[in-house]
Amino acid sequence: MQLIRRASATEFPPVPTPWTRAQDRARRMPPPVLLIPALAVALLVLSPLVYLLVRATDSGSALPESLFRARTMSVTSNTALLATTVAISASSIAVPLAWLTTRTNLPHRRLWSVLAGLPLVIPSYVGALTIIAALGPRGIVQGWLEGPFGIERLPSIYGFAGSWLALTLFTYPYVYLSVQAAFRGLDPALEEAARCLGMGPTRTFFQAVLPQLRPAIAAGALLSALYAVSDFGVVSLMRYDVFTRAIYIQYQSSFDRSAAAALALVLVTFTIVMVAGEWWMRGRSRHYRVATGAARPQRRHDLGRWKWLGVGYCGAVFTCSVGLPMFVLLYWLMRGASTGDAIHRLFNQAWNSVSLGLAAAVFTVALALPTAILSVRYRGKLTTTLERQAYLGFALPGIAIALAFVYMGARYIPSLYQTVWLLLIGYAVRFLPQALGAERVSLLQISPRIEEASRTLGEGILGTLRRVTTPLATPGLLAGFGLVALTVMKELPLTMMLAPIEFETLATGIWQATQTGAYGRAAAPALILIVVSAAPSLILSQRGFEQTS
Amino acid sequence: MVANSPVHETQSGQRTLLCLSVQKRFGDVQVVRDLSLSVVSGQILALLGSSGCGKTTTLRMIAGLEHIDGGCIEVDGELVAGAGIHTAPERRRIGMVFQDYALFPHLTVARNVSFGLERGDNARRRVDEALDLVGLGGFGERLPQDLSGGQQQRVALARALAPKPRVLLMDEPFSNLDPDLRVAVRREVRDILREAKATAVLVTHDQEEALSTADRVALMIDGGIAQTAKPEVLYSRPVSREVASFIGEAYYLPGAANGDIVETEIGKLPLAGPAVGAVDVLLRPEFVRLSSSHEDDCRAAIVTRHEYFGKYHMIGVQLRSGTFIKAMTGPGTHFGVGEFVQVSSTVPLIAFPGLPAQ
Repeated sequence: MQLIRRASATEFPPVPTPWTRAQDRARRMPPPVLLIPALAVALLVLSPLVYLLVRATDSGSALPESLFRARTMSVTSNTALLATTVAISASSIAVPLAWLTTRTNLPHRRLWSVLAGLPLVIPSYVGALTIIAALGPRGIVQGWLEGPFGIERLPSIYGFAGSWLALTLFTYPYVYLSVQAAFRGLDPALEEAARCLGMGPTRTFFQAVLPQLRPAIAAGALLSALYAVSDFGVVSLMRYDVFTRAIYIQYQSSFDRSAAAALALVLVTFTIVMVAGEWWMRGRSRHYRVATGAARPQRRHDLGRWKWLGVGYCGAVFTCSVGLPMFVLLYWLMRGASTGDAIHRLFNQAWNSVSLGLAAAVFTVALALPTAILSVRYRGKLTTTLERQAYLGFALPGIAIALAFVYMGARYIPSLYQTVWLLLIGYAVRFLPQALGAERVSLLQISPRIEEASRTLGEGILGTLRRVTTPLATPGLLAGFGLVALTVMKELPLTMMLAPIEFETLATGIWQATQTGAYGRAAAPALILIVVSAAPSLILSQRGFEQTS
Repeated sequence: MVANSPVHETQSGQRTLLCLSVQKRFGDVQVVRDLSLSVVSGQILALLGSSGCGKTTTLRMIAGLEHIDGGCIEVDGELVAGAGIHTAPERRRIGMVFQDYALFPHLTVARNVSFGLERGDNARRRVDEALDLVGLGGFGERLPQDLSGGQQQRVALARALAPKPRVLLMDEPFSNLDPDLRVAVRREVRDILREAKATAVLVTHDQEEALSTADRVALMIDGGIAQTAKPEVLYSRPVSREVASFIGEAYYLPGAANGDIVETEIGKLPLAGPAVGAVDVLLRPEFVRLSSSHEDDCRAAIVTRHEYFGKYHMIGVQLRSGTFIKAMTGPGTHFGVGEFVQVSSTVPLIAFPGLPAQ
C-alpha cells in the first residue's frame, strides 16, 4: 500500500510572490523616442576613441615605431611608477584616517571625518602650485630656513617627488571615502567573534577586519591611481614626463598628429585596464559586504592616552592637504596688488566658469537621461550595453578627449570648432558617467509599481512622467547636475584645449598665471574656485560615494 | 461563456468582470493558461494560489499593466483586452491596490487619494468620503511615510476606491502586515468593500484569508483555474485531489466504492456522491473520529503521533496497511502514542478515482 500524504498549505506557508526576474525581462521593446537618442549618445562617447585609433594607425608603420621609441618607454614607466606610488601612499594615509574617524573615540570625530574628505575641493593643479610655492626654489619654506640656518637649496621639488606628493595629498580622499563606507558597513559581530575565538585587538584588526576592507581599499586606490594617470595639471607644473604631459608637448610642438594620437591611445589603454580592474574589484567587494544597516551599532575603540596622537595625525594630514594650499593662496592674495583691470578680468573668468559649468551640467544631464531610463526601465542586452558604453568617458583622460575633439573639430566639423559647443560636447563625453550614475540611482529608487499605480488611476504615460516620475527623480537629477557643474568648473585640459581663444575661465586663468610665472595672480581665481565648489561638492562627493560603492 | 461544470459553478447577478481562456507567456514560460473566471457585481472573488502560479500576472492583465497573449477580458460587457484590442490601464477604470501599496511618497494622503479624480469641489468631497470610509478622516495632510503599515494600506484602498472603479483589484493586500494586525485589517477591508458595494478581485496565497474574506474563491494551480466555488464548497467538495490538497489537510484512504458506500480497511464508510470501483476517499482530520480499541481488533490503527494545540489535539494514526491519516479530536479526549484506536468518519466522504498502483 502506498502512503499518500500531501503537505498542506497551512504547514508550509509560501512566500508572497515577488516581482520575478522573468517578468521584468519580458518587458516591451524600448520605445524609439528613447532608443535613438541613447544610441546617438553612445556613438558620441565612442567617437574620440575611434578617432584616436584611426589617427594612430593612419600613418601605417609610424605607430609601432613611435610606440617603441626610448622616450615612450620612459614615459610609460614614469606613468606606471607615479600611479603605483600614489596608490600606495594615498592608501597608507587614508586607511588610518578612516579608522580613526569611524571606529574610535577620537575627539571631534565627526568634524574630522568631514575635514578628511575636504582636499577633494582643491583642484590638484592648484595644490601643486602651492606646493611649488612652499617647497620650491626661492619658496616660502626655503625663505624661512635661509635666514637662521643659511640653507640655500632644498632638494628639488620638481619631477617625480613633487608630482607624487601633490597627487597623494589631493587624491587620498578617494581611498578614504571608500574605506570609510566599508568600515561603516562592517558587521561588528565578526569582530566580536574573533575576540571570542581568543584573538587580541591587534590580531583581530589584521586578521578579521583588514581582509574585509581589502576590496574597498583596492577600489579606492585604483581610483586615485586612475586620477594620477589622467591628471594633466600637476605633472605639467612639476615637469614630470608622463603620458598626459608628453601628449600635450607633442600636440603643441609638432604637426605630426599621429604621434600625439598614438601616445593618447596607449594612455587610454592604460586607463581602460585600470577601470576594468576597478569594476572587477567593486564586483568582488559586494561579496564581502554584509547586509547594510547592521542591527547593532559598532563599538568604538577607546584610544586612551593615544587620543592626542590621533588628533595630531588627522591635524597633520589636514594641514598639509588643505591648510598649506589655503595659507599660500591667502598669503599671495594679501601680498599681490590687484588692479581694477584684474578685478574685472576675474569677474569675467568667474562668470564664464559658472555659466559654463551650469550649461555643461544641463547638457550632460539631458544627454544621459534616455540611457538612464532605458537601463533602469527597459533592462535588456542592448540597453545594458548602451549603459556600459556611456561609462567609457570615465576611462578617457581629459587630455585624450580634448586631443580627439580638437582634431575632429578642425577637420570634420569646422562650424563647431573654436566654439563653446565643442567644449560642451567634450565635457559631456567626459562627465556623462557622473550624470548617468546619479540619474540611475534616483530612477532605481522609484518603484515601477508607483508609476503603474498612477496608470490605474487614469493617468497616461506622459502624465505619469510629469506628475509622478519627475517629482520623485528631482533630487537625483539635481545631484547629478551639481556634480557635473562642479567638476566642469575645475576641469583643466579640456577647457584649455577646446575653449575658444580669448574665452577665459577660472581654471584657464590659473593656468595662464602659472605659465607666465606670475603665481600670485593665480591666488584669486583659485580661491574663488575653491569657495564656489567647497560646500556642495563635499556633500555630493560623500553622498555619491555612498551610492556608488 | 463559462461552462456550467463543477469547476465553474453557475451564479446569478450582473456580471462585471469576465476573463475567457486568457493566456500569458513570458519568453518560453506559459505563466497563465486558459484562465477563465467571472465576478458578479458587488462580489469579492479571491484568486488563491501558491507563489509563482500566475495569480499576480492575472491581476496585472486585468488592470492592463500586462498584455494578454490569447483569450479576452471584458469589463461591464466592454471588451478591454483580446482580439487585437488593448485598452490602456488609465482608460479601464479598474482600481488596484498594490502589494507594497505604491503610495506616492511626494504627495500627502489627501493628494494621493485625489490623484485619480478631476479637480474641483467634488473631488474634495470625494476625498473626504473615501478617507472617512477607511476610517482615516483627518489624516489628509499627513505624508504616507508617517503612517503605520495598516494605515498606508487603508490609504491605498481609499485611493483606489475614490474614482469609483468598475472593479477593484488587490494584490496580496495583507501580506505586508503583522500577523496580529492582519486578521483585524482583513475584516475591516471586507466591511469597507461591502459598504462601497465594490466588485473586487483579491489575490492571495493565504487560504485562510481567501476563505474568510471572499464570497467566492478561484483556486489557481499552474497558471489555470482548478476550481471556482463558494468557500464552503471549495473546502468540502473539492473537484480534484489537487484542490483537496491545496485547501486544508488532505489524507486519502483507498477503498472499493459501490453506490453510496465505500468498503475500506477500517470498514464501510458513507459517500457524499455515488461512485463505483477503486477509489481514494478524502479524509480531512476534522472528518475523522477515533475511539478506543485494542490490539486484537483487526481494524484497529495505532497512534504514532500526538500534537496538542490547546483547542484540539492532532493525532497521527497509522493503519494496518501502512496508510497514515490524521485526526482532530476535542480538548477532552486523549489518545497517547502507541494506543490502539478505531477510526470512523463523521460525515459522508468525497471519493476520487483510485491512482494506478505503482
